[in-house]
Amino acid sequence: MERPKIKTKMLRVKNLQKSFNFNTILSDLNLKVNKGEIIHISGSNGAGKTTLLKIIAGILSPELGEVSIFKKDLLSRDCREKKQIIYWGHQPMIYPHLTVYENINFFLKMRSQTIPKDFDLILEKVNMLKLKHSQCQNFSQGIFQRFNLLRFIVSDWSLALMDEPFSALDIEAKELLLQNIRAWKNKGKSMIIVSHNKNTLHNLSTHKYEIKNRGIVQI
Amino acid sequence: MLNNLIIKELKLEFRTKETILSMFLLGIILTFLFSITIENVKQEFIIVYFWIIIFMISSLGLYRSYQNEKNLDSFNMMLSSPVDPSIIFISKVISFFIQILIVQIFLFPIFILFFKLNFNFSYAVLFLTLATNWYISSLGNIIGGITLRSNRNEMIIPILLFPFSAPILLAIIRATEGIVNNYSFYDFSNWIFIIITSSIVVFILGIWAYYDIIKE
Repeated sequence: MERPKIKTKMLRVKNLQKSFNFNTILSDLNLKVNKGEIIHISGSNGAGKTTLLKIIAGILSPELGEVSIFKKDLLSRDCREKKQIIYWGHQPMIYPHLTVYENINFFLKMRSQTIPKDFDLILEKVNMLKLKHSQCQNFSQGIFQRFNLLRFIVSDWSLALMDEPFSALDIEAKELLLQNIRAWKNKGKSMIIVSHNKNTLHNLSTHKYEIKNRGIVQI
Repeated sequence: MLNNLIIKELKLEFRTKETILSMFLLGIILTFLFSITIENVKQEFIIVYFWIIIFMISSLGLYRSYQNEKNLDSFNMMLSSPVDPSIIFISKVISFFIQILIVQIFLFPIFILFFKLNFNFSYAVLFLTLATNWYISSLGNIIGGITLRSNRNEMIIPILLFPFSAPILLAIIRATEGIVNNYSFYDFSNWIFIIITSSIVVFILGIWAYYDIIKE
């Protein structure tokens, strides 16, 4: 008889509430993510998908609620466990006057990590080797998305928060991202992916949620 | 971690020279305008105009510094990292302190030239300058943090910076008057202590409150 798999609890969001200008976006929202799960979140524009990811990433503060990873409070001032989380936002979160190498180096140093030895190989994989020493100021949205993918590949994390990661990517890059998502899933990493594209994640996501009426419902 | 943040700030600035250059150019213009419009003012009061110029160009520099952080959301990258925000504050204070100092090194000789000042170097003036720079940098970064999420920070930074700078300007006038006229140290020491205490208090306030200030 096959033994049931023990789920390792990773992220816990409890009774979350967030408002902007007295307009409540999220209210009494609860979410649990276990190790190796891929959560696909959808919802209409302005429903609060990005807000939820930004709160978990530590960019926004909720008015009420708890967010913890491996039972450590993520909302505390100096949470070392933040290095378990990586965030893919609408903006590339880079310094336009630093080169690709310098931006990655700075990003990794902030997480107490170092550039991997096979960095050039990874750059070649994401088709950015030629841009290694180029300043990022004139990059297109597609290149910024490739840069995000590069950040995700070179750094060490347990939970990825991805906000529309497939937008502005060409077919080749989209396939590369899907390959990596599969590889990360096989390694037991967890991901919360916000995407309007239900077909792309159809076979990958383990749970599907929709943000509706300020809360989150499983679909 | 602090090293990395300071190196990043300075590397960005020395690569673009946006902040230093714009502060320096505005400083020259203001020095020129003040020098042609102000006459018959005592030497010790002329130095006040120098500090008014420094406060004015600092608001421009702080605006540019925080605008760079907002451009491609890079500040959010730091917020989502496992770094204590007070380290980010300290790095910003140190790097802006260095930037003001560089601008002052180039601007002060021009100021002396335009105002025909008889300036004798003294360690007391140097110490006063460093303490005031630290105050401007600490206060400026607290205000920069407060206005980070605002779309009107080019307007809000000077509006908030100047009122909080007025007591320090008064202290600088009195302290400089004492130094220039070779008064006994005890005659103007209170003013120097006000500047030092304000610098320390504002810096500690920033370390303590920066996390709450920058959170949305």
